[in-house]
Amino acid sequence: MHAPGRARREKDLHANALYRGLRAGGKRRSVAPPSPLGLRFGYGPCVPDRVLRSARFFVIAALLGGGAARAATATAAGASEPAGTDRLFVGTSACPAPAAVRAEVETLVPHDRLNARLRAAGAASGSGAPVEIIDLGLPFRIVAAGKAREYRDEARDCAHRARIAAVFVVLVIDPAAMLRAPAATPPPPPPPAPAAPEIVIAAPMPTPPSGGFTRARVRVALGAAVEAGVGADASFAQLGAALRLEVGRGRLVLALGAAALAPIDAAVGGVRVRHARYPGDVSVQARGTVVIGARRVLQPYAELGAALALVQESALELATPQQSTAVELGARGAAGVTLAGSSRLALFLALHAEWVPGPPAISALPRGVVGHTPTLWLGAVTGAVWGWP
Amino acid sequence: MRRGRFLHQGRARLLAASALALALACGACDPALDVGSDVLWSARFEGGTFDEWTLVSGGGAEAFPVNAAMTNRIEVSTEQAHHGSHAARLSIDASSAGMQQNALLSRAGELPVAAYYSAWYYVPNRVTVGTFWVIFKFRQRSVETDGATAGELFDLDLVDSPSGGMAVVFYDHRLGRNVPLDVADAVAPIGVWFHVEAFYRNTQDATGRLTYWLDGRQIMDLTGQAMAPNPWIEWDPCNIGETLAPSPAVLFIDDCAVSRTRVGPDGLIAR
Repeated sequence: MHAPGRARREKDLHANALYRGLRAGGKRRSVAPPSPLGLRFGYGPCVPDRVLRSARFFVIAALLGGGAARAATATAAGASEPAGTDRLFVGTSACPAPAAVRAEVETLVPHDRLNARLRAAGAASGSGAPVEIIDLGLPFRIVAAGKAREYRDEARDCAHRARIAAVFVVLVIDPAAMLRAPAATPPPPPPPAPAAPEIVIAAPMPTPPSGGFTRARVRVALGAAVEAGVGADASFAQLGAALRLEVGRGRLVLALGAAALAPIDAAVGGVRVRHARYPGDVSVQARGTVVIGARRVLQPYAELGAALALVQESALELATPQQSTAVELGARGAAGVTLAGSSRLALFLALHAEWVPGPPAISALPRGVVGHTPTLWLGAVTGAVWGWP
Repeated sequence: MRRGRFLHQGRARLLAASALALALACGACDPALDVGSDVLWSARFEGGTFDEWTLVSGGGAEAFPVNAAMTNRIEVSTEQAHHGSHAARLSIDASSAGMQQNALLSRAGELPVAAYYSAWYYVPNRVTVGTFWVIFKFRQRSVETDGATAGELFDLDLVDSPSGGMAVVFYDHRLGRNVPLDVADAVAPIGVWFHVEAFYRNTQDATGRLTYWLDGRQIMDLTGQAMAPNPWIEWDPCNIGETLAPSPAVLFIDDCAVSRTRVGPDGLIAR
């Protein structure tokens, strides 16, 4: 979890390492006051903080993992899509030129996925060209996927402007999504090792969405359940509903579960019975977190505990049928995963196994014991889980 | 806060370990689920009376002819028992030639068309059979509603056997003769409890069937023929004989049952 101060600092791009890197290059840049248009400079609230964090992470990933392709890609892009014919980077700006911005963007993200992502972002925003560069004199304006920002550069350093515009474009088009998308063309052969990057971005590790389900102290899960009993004398398969309560916020939490399974008719040792089972358990749950995007986290978990089930059997075809109830006790293990977002609702899928060392004996006269209920129960539950802080 | 979290996790681990240990310990309890019974009726004599026979419709327990010396007798005894501590003791004085002596337990009427009839027997001493000695009998009525028309149908008898026990033979009253069993060596032991069971489907067409087991071994299967002239059935575990020596001839009977499914030597007729 981030400290509040750190989160605030990260919103100020002028204070982060990107600009420190530029200053280190020897050219001092002044930070200008707001433009006459009243637009705020810098990356404002329209770009969510988690997007910025994730984008920086993935930009670094692209630089480190795919950086080898940058030089060749940029060259190829320039050859295949000259500035005059580029429909994705448009505008009348000469400083920076749209082609220069594209070239900078292509140094940050894989070229083979860039165009498709730009088109998708443009289509999603409903705007025309995905990227437009407008030179307003001292300020210059960038419109990317429907989002606009103005920056002031009194020195009118066109290369510097192109880099700033490129970073904005990359952050707006969500490089994480781009990296997840399959490549349209196979990557080019590895070129010589690139020079040390000019821009160094401190990329924090992705963190789960704050608030919502992931910070819940109490979770209640409701789902559809299927359970099968496997034994030497009888096998059952039942459907039903499962309810689960999890209490705790740490890596170890207490879990209580119960299920109602529809009765089923089956044969045990040749005697037809109606089988009903209502399992419950008390378990300790160990939970982890895997971030799979800016808005989603997977929470795999494992459980170990004691299982208790109420078992009812009644004969269907005996001369004098009788319903009988017993309690099964055993050990239970489970593994599951929860897919959570920023809301209090998440989806889950869990598999479990129960081992009953002393399953109840089923007896019917005159045969006596005709068999036992299964020793091993396997099941799966899927559904929704709600979390409360 | 960190300390509290560790305490919470420690309690959770302790709770899980305790629950798991309890579950594994109690999991071996092997509780029983009694789902019912196919035994329609049973008699174990553990009450020390013949109420299990005499208090049901069509049931009876009697010995005849009755004389002053009470040489034909039925009683509940603790002298021998198959399960529990009691069994029926049936004794007859059949030393006189030409005179049938009877001690029997009976169930008549209100019996299913098809059922398994079983009983345990104990013959304490070897008996020399002069004429016949019947231990397991089915009777019939020529007119279902007229008790005066009752008559004999199928008998399972014991006769002398050169092997030392008592050989089992089958007598069909419709034919008026013994019918050979399916096996040659059906021998009831002396001084040991043995189990006799019959499946009797009393139908008046070719679906009729009569099957006997001795100690769980099938010894005869009579199929594909009509049985009694009507659905009325009488079943008698009995000690009926003529010209037997020594006298009295004693027989113990225990754990009798009428069941929809086969009891067999290992079956349970009551809990």
